[in-house]
Order: sequence, then structure tokens, then C-alpha cells
Amino acid sequence: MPRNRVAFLLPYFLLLLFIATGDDRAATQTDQTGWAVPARELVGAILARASAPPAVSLQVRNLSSLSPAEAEEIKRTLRSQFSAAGTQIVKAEQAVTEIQITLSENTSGYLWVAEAGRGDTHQIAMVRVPRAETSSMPRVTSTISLRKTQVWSQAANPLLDVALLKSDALLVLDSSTVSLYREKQSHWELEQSQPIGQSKPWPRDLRGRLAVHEHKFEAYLPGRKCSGSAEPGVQMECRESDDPWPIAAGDEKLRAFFGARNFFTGALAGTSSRGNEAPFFSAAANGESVWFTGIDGAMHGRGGARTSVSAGSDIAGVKSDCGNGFQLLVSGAGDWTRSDSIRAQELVNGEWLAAGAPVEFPGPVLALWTTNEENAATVVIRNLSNEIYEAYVLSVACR
Amino acid sequence: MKRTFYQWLAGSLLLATAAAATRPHYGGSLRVETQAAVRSMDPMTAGQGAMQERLAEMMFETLVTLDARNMPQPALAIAWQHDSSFKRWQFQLRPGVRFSDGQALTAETAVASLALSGAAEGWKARAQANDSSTVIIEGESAMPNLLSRLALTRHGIAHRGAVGVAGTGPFRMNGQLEGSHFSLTANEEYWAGRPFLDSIEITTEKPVREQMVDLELGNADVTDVDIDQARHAQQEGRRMAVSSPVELLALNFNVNHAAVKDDRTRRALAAAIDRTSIHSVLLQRQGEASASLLPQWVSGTSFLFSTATQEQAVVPGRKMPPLTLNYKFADPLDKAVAERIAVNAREAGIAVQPVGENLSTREGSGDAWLVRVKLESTDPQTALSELASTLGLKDDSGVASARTAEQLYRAEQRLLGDASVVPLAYLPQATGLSGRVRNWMEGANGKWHLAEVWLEIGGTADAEGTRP
Repeated sequence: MPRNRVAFLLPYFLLLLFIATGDDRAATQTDQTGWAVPARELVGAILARASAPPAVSLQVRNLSSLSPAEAEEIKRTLRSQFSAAGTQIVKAEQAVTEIQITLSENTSGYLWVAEAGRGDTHQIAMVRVPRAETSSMPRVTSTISLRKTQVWSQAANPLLDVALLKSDALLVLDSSTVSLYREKQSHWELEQSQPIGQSKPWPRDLRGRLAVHEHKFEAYLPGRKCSGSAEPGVQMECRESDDPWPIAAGDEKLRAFFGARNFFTGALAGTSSRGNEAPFFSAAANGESVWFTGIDGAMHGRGGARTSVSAGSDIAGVKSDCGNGFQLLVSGAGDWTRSDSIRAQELVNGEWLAAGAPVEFPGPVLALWTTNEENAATVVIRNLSNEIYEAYVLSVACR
Repeated sequence: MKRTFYQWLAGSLLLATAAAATRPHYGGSLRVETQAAVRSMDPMTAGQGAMQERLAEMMFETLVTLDARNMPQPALAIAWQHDSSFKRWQFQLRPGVRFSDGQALTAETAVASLALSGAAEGWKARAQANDSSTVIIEGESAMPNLLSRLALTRHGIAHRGAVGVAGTGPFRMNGQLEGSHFSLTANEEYWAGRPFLDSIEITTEKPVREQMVDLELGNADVTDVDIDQARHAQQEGRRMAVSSPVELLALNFNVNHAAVKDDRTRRALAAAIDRTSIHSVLLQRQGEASASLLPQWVSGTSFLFSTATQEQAVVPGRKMPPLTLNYKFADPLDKAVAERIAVNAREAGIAVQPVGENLSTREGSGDAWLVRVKLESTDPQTALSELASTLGLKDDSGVASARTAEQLYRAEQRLLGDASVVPLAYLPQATGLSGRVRNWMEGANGKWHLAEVWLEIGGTADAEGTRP
């Protein structure tokens, strides 16, 4: 692997390590305090209402989305809390009081309900338990594998694109701002945020992309363009503009005009343009070859020649040391109600073939752009489980 | 040879997913059919029917909305604050919003709308002096739950002018609401982005059977599906969306009738009902059997209300009077449930006569009637309060002052205490969808998000031709 590529990917690997370490720490924290606190509260409340019986029987049932393993762990925690409170857990026939605890759930979170009693007399106690967010990072195994590294997430405004700068900084484009984050003690800290401004409502399915050249950047949105510098701090000017967007951020030779909605008009600009194409959602270039995902749902080469590849609406080209050196990343089929995937394709004897296993995402892919160095792609998704926008860097690794 | 085979296989798999775009297309008209009658699109009357409410939500927006976790989110208000007593709230309106009749959203227009919809809420809205973008809502008592109440569809902000009722939502009425066919068109200036669809064509009062035929023939995109037919339709491979259980099916007693004035009579009948068989046989296991007013997914405490049939339902030595049970005559499912209740009652020694009536505009004339009430909110407190109001339950249960899940459970117990309403089941709502409908998303309480829907290419989706 060339040295400059290693240098480029190093921050991603460090970030992945940080994320993995952070997840473990969070999980441990949940084990230690997440269940124990509500368990103690519930046990205390129900014992108080049941006049602190010395011996109880305990049944725990799970009516929530907690996994059987989590429910079992909670059951153990509850038993230990009864013991800590000086109450012995015995068989039902020996118990002074029978206690049934139901791990329930409502729209706000988990709800643990304890019922204590014997015969017709029953006491009830409840505690609310916040739901924790979880996410999975599946691994892929193949001769070519896609590696995804989450670099950013946000809940507020729709996220459009991110760009990692060489100075340990992250540029984030969303529907209202361009923000610069600086890495400090393994965290992204907001350094500066500049408003984009808009004179009319954005189209639904708003799209935007960042093109970065050293510390200078351009942000493209429908009918608007911002130009600025990220050093020192974000200095930016935005204006109404129909300037064409770059197909590959680092390639000035081919640009495409974006319409007022969510697709490119098909009009091309730049030295590599050879006439216009049909309207398209996304494009990828490798030298003089260009592929477009048309708004008709099919993938075309130049001049409208259909290819055998068709999946989602988004594609990006990535250069790597694997296979024939160029992979086409394509999003999966489906709409925004489903989770999504991205898979790599390689051109073999004029035919696109799947290369390696797809990498899964917990929500639809909203943006897929080739990075400035063309050796990775930026992916933006909306996580269906929590409605949070997440940005990943997707790179190709050889195995 | 092996390589060639796998190349062919890979190519076949790829072609099999051809033309399966994920990014939305603009354009086209969504054809919606429903058996419901829609008499008004005014958000104030949204509670008159699920379809009316769904359509009102396409045209009108509230100050705030609730997300999937019941957390308030900005809508027409972008910021809010309250005083320490929760008696005074201040809302900052979203700038640059216009109603579909061209009127700008101002504090004055919002207050005029809230004055009507909030008349029964116990609070008053007014515009902040010298500030046309700030609305003040004040009440005599604390209103900690005000945000979830303001998220109710009936508090949708409307401008009522000479030409009708205008909203700020993603769609606007095309012409007047007359007859059983009307259309909504995309609001090109919608602040959150023009919808993908150009328009929505709505046909009302159409029998479900005819809707299914239209769906099969490609003449409709969105139709009703009777919930007892949902499982069968799914087994036939028909495309449909089934919501969470959002509609309460309950027995509502006419407590002024002598036959059911004694709560022991009502309790005896309630105890005899076999909810499990109603759920498993008549409802085809859709939704959930329920003895509570709120469904399990909203309250988390529904399981505490026993759905089991109780033995010794009849008070020993007491002669039970014969009872009349009304059901909506046009609804075969309600008829089947009423007849099943009559069978259960007979087994317990109670004579019940099911009688079909037109229940769409009034309560039944008999001793009890079957009622269906849609959940108005996913917030448990607001939902329970609305259910109690709709069902005519006495509001001295403590719902309004409940602060914890346990207090709300106690309030729900008190509401059901005199057995004037007997919950039977919670039903989901099923919607048939044509193959070209994409991005179909329903909120937790069955809300449609038609601004996000788009139509698959090959239908009527367009390119640049009709761009605004």
C-alpha cells in the first residue's frame, strides 16, 4: 500500500479504535449502573409497599424488546437487589409474599412493573428505565472487503456530506450550516459554524456535497454554492449559484449541473464532458469512463448505453490496490423505509460483477460521494432505529 | 467453466434487482380510496374519523409534533419556553411560512386559530405585544403536558378566510370539498420542501370490495383493508401496511338505561366476554385483546388489566334483564363481535340481543353499543384524556394531574371502575398499497406521511417537465 494512502487511512483506523473503545466503555457503564439503579429503586419501592416481607418468591417476565440475555441479566440484578435489601428469595409455597416483575415498555422507554401480594391483595410499583441506543458494525469476509468507519452523527439538521481534513479536522455540511470540528482528546469539538442561508425552501430529499482542496472548500447545494477556507477557522461566502458540481471531488475535468430537485439535469461541463446525458441521480468516473444512475432507475454509460448493474440510486467510484484498481460502490435496492447496503462491483470483461460482500447500514443511504483523494467514499445514512443521521467513510481493503 | 457459471449467476442476480431505485422521484398523482365519508377538512373536526384526520394532517400543521419517543419537535413553532409554574408558555413561530391562501403565518393568525381549537382546553392564546412572531398561551392551572396536547391534529393552525380554510402543510385543497371525489395538490412553497407527489386524488365512500378490485386492476394506489381480512390478504401476497394497534374496540353502556343502570349488571356482562376468542378468531390475531383503554405499546401497563373471562359472572340469585347491544350495521366485523358477545353472555345466563344501527353520527339507542375510537396521541396522558372525553367518561380520575406511569395506571383504573366502558381489543389499521408506491411511512399512531411518498418510475413520475 503506498505510503500516502496509509497516511490518509491512519486517522480512520485511529477513529475506529476510539469508537470501539468508547462502545466497550459505554457497555460496561450500562452493566454497572444502567440496570442496577432502576432495579434498586423498584425493589425498594415494592418491598416498602409490601411491608418488607422477609421472604418472597420472584418471577420475572419480559414483555419488552429487551433480548433474553438482557432480561436474564436484569433478573440476576433484581435478585441481588432483593438480597442486598435483606429479603430472601424462596419458592412460592414458602414465600410470605409473591412478587412478579414484568419488564414492560411504552413509547417513552422501558417500564418495569412489580406486583406483590398474596391472594386478593396486591401492591404495584413501577420504574421508568431509559432505552439505550445500540448499533452494530458487521464484518465482511471476502477477497475484497469494504471497511466502514463511522466519523460523525447528528440528530438535528439533515446531514449532507462530511470531509476529513488533513489537519485532524472534520468539515460537516448539513441543511443549514457548514461546521468545522477539531479533534481534541479523541473527541470532535465544534470550532466554528457558518450559516449557509437560503432564499427559498430547500427541495425535499435535499442533497449537497463538499469539495475540499487542502484547507479550502466548496459546498454545493441546489441553487447555492459556498466557498471558503477552513484554516484558520471557517471563513465562508455563500451565493445563489447554478455552478456545476464535481462528479469526483478531486477531478475538475467533469462536472454536472444540478437541478432544483434531487437529481442532476444531465447537462455536463468540463474538459471530459462529451455532450449531455439523460437526468441522473449519481455518477462515477474512472478516467474517461463515466457511469450514471438515471432517474429511470437504471445505470448507463456515456451516451445512454445501459449496463447490467442496477441497484440503488447512488454510486461512487473508488480507486484501490485491489482487483483491477477501480471499484464501483453501489447502494442497495429499496426505499427509505428499509435498511440499506453498499456493495463493490468490478468491471470484468465488460461486465460488472459483485466484489466481496455488501456492507450493511441501519438505514437508507442518503448520500454516497467519492472523497477528494478518490480512494474512499463518504456515506450518509439515516438510522431508522433512532432517526439520527450518520456519516461513514467507506474504503476498499484487499484480503 | 466454473467462473463462467458464477459470472452468469452474479449477472442474473444483479439484473433481478434492476430498476430498483432508492432515491425519490418527483411527480405523479397518488390515488387514494376509502370507505370513509369526509365532510370537512377543517382540523377542528379531524376527530370525526381516521381518514379525515389523516387528510387534515396533510394540509394543516401544529405548533409542535411528537417524535417516536414522545419528545416534542419543532413544527410551526421553532422554540418555546415556559415559566416555573407551567402556566405561561411562549412560542416562537417559524419565519417565512405562508398559508395556502397566501396569508403569512403570524402570531395573530396562529392565535385566531388556537382560540377556536383551544376553547375547551382551559387556556387562552394571545400574540406577544409588538411581536408578530411570538404566541403566548396562558392557563389558570399548570399545563406541563401542553406540548403533547398542542400536537393533536385539531390544534392544527388554520387560516379561516372567505374562500375556506387554508393550512401551511405540504398539500393544499384543489377546489372545494364536494361529493365523494376531490384532490389535494402539492404546496410548491412548503417550508420543509415540496412533496414528491404532484397531487393526491381521493375517492371516499367506496366499498372495500370495490377498492380491492381497483387496487388489483391498477386503478388505485392506497385503499382500506378490513382488519379481519388483513391476514388473508397478506397470505395472498398483497402489499399492505399494518399499523400498531391504534383503534380501541369497546363496549359502551348507555348508563341512563334502566337495564344497565346497576353497575353489577355491566360488570356481569363484562366478565362474561371472551376477549381471547374475539381476538384470535374474529380479528384473526390482528392487534391485541385488551381490557384497558390504552394499548400496551403506549402505556406499558395494559397487561395489568386482565383480559381473562371471569367465572361466576352472574350475581347469584339475581335475575338479569335482557339487554340490547347495538353495532354499526354496515360493519361486518362489528356485527360478528356483537354476536360473539351475545353468545358469551348467553353462556353466562344473560340475554343479549345484537341490533345493527347507523352509529356513525350518534350513540346507539340500545342498552349498550360497540364503539371504535382511534388513538389521538402516542403520549399516554394525552391519549387517555382524549379517550375519556370521546367515550364520555367522568373526568375526575386524575388523568390530567398524573405525573408518573403508576399514577396514570391508577387513573385508567378509575376511569374503568364503574364498567360503563368495557374495552375489548385494540385494532391496527391496514392499508392496501399498489406496487408503485414508495417510501410509505406511517407514524406510530397510524399517521400517514404522504409528503415523503413517491411513485415508482414507469408510473407517472416525471423528470424536469413539471419542475416548479
